Amino acid sequence: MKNSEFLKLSALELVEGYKKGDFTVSDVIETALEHIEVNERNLNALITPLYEEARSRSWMLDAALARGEELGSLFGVPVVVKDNITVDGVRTTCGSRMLENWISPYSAHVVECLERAGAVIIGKANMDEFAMGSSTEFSAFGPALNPWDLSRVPGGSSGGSAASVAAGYAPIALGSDTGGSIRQPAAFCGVYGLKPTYGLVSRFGLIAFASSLDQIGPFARSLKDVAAILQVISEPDARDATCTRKERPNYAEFLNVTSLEGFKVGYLAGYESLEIDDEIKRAISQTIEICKEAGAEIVEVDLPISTRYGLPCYYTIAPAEASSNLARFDGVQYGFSVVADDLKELYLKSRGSGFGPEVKRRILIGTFVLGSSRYDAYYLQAQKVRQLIIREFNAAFSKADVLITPATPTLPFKRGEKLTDPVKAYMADLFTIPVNLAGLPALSMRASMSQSGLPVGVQLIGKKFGEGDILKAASVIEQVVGPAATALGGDRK
Amino acid sequence: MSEFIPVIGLEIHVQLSTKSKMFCSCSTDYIGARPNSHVCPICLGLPGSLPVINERAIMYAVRMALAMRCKVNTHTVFHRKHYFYPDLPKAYQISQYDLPLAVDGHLEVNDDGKAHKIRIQRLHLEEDAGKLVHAAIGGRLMGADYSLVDYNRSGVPLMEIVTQPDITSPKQAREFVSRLRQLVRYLGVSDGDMESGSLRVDANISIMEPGGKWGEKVEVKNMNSLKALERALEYEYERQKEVKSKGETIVRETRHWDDDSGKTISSRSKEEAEDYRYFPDPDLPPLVVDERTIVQLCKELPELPWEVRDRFISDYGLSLEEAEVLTERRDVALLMDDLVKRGSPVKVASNWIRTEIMRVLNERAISAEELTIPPDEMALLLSRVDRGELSTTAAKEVFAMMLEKSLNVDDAIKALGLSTGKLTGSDLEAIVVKVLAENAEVVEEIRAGKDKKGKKVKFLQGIVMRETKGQADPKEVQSLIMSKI
Amino acid sequence: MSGTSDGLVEEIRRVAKLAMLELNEDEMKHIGTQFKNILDQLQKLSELDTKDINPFSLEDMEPMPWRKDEVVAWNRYSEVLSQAPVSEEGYFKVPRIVEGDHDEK
Ligand SMILES: [Mg+2]
Ligand SMILES: [Zn+2]
Repeated sequence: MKNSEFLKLSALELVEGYKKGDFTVSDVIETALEHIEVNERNLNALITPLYEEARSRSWMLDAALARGEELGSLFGVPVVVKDNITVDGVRTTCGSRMLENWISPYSAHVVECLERAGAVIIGKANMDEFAMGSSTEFSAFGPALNPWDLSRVPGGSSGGSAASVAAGYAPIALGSDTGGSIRQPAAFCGVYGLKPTYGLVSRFGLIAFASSLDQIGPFARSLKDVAAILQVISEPDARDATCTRKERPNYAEFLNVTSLEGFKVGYLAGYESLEIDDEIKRAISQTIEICKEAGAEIVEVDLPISTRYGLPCYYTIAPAEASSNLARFDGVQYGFSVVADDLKELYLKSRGSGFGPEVKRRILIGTFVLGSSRYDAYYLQAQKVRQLIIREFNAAFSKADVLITPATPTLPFKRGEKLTDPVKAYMADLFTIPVNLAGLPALSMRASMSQSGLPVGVQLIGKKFGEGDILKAASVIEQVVGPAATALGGDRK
Repeated sequence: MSEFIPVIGLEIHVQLSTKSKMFCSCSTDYIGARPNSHVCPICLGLPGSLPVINERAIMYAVRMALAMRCKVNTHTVFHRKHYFYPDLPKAYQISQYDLPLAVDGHLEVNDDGKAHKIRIQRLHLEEDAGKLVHAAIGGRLMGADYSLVDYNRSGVPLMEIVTQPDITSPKQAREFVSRLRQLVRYLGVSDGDMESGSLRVDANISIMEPGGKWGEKVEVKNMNSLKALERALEYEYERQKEVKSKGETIVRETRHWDDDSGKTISSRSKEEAEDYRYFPDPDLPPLVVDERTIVQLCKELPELPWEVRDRFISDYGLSLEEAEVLTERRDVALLMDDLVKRGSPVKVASNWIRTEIMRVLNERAISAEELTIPPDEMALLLSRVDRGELSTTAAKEVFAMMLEKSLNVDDAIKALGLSTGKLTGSDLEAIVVKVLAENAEVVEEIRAGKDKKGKKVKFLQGIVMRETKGQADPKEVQSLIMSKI
Repeated sequence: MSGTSDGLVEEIRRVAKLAMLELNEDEMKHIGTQFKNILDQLQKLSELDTKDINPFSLEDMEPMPWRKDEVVAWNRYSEVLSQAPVSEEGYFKVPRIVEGDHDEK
């Protein structure tokens, strides 16, 4: 096998290869690191590549392999982790100048899980500052690019993670999703991106954007990998009070299906007339057709409140929580700090210069809606609307097991296109946001390629803790459209 | 002169004596520790950290709420209270807001012998802040070039108790806090120490005009003892009266008590009230304390200080004063019960505990359980005193010896060269004769049949016992007196 | 939208102060316009009748888990202090506190 072929293998194929002795962990890691070194000049998908750390870990793992030790389920698998997830001893920037030099003294729960499973973290992924954005252009470390078309954005905020997986840096990556930050970049980069049910994956060590919406989730190029990594990171954790104590199923088992007999797939009534790209509409109807062929019953569902009020609801709650979560960055204990004459000046200047414009904008909005005289009209009203959205989804899921919707209204947009008007930029999250508000799981996957050679994604939404249903439907679709492809330098397919 | 009545409400923060902090596993034992050594990502508010609540903190707060007859809410919510200050690492404090753990209770205080009910408005849980040091004069931070921050205290569980403005004098405020402190100690939920800051009191005081019009409320802070609390409120009451009598208006503000000068000093009032932007903490689901747990905690509640006091009065026949002293501390009250149960006469036990034993406990700063004398031996000693086998003076020496050398009663008596009933026969007879001669009138009265109740014989017996330094057998003394008369 | 009203500018200044964010004139102008647009969007929520909705419904929510009161010492504290912008003798150090910043607790 040519070394460059490693880059196309899935996580599980790599583990298989190590077991059979086809190649070693250091072979694979070395190849990945070289590949990263060459491509980073263009892509800028990583804020911090971990060359040394990954190399020494690969040698350690090869030694373990030689000793015949039992291998973890992600043994020797390179993985990229979004830079808002802490790794002990590694700087964690959140894409912000505020944390440019902050070295985390502890690891996130998901990172501990990955390491226990034998994975090798090869880099910290670029992202929109504090996960606020849909293009990874709001990174203090420069924008990441879309490996399918370098003039376009990879989506965001987990754009670096999505681009890394699409570009073959690693077969899997972790991102976080507050309003679509995994699913939208996954769609833009043509890979799988799963936002788990709120509370399935511990948020311990995830630098909070909006605590009631944030979830960590995986990127991968195959569904089997999605299931495998989800199994690993969804291990229960008592350090996150919002992490469920429910038992986790064996996710791989949901993939052994060829038929959707007795399964109900819902689609959004009137999606044909929505303001969305035609190629996306076509992808939706093709996907529905695949499910129907596999024996699924197709039903129409209506989500009028979510569609109309999801955005304002989200853009009240998320900034409110963000303004609170980001209050701790004040230049006293860690992070960006200026020399000041008095305390207030220290606060104002450290925060004023440490945060970028999008973050500041959202902190201001959040501070505004939480103000004692605005609270009822804005924040409380948004929480009530959120309850209506939850009800609306409950009603939809009384009719269907899984909903198929667009992941994004458009194909990957050009760099700089959405930077000027925030309201327009926020529209990119129209289909992903209600899912976070309702705490549901949803998968974004590539359904086809556009005429212009860009990936076209769709979104599969499940009921609470219905990751299995999503995997079931997705696996039938994958059998037809095939797994995600890599967009490797010259040989983009 | 027209009377202004003070209207006082208290806000009391009590550090709960849990082993670990409110939302993380760091030790709460920070006094004297190296700065910033009892910390972790959670109580430092490092990015990515999350809070998980301490079970014991909840139990302690519920216990306290039940003891004050509060209504405990089964479903409550933690809010975030935001303000920027270096002692607050997350720039918000996790606290309870419109859904506190408990509401509507009361605590009774004694004011010049009269019982007075102070209503409790609410009781809630929150986390403590860190500590700023390197302060300028007067314990205030203003004026210092810089401050140093220690987060060892950050995240220690606090229980906040807010009273209704039912308190009508500085003395009553002091009584209330003293009562509350006694209660937290009885329940074992806090050491209640004001000096070290385990119990911190803020007071709101206004004065009511004769017509019943309320004045502006002034918040007084920084009182580090019961005495300081009373003095600060007295000062503030006088100050407000004086302002009023000059025809001026009282400014709504926060004032700091300065113990050295004996004055309250105004903190410059802010242009606008702070906006804390409270909202439910999304990291913490609602706190559910179910009925069963509440009932269970109610059952496990120890006998409360005033209940013990009333029982001591009714069952032991003690006076109110005696009972108050004996129930001030739970360990002491328990000792009293224990000694009586083991056969000590009530009166002797009460006297001894309130004098000798309390003195030793205070001197050594130990609890009654830590006393090296086993209760059985203590009870034995007190019985011998009661029977006159040992004079009080001799018994004190025995007590000291038992304490010092960890001896039992008999060995202590031996070691001191004392023994009960040693003085007997002709030696004793000589003393009896002498005493009878010295008290000829009493002897005459007895002979005249004027001692129907035997009191006069007892009187003579007492004198003889004293003369023998308690080393005679009281029964022998009595029969000797009878035979001589 | 060029015409940001004075009232709104005042409001943004107040909020920025509360959030401890220094904004330069350029940012003020920029954010001012966007602020209005965003608030207009958020205003839409008032169209919905939510009288009878409990905003924090506990339905199918797992109650808060409790932690046992056990001490686990974290011994990495010096690493945190070494990353402090300014520290002295084991303490974090902050500049002069001006009166009225906040009432110390
Ligand atoms: Mg408080
Ligand atoms: Zn801690």
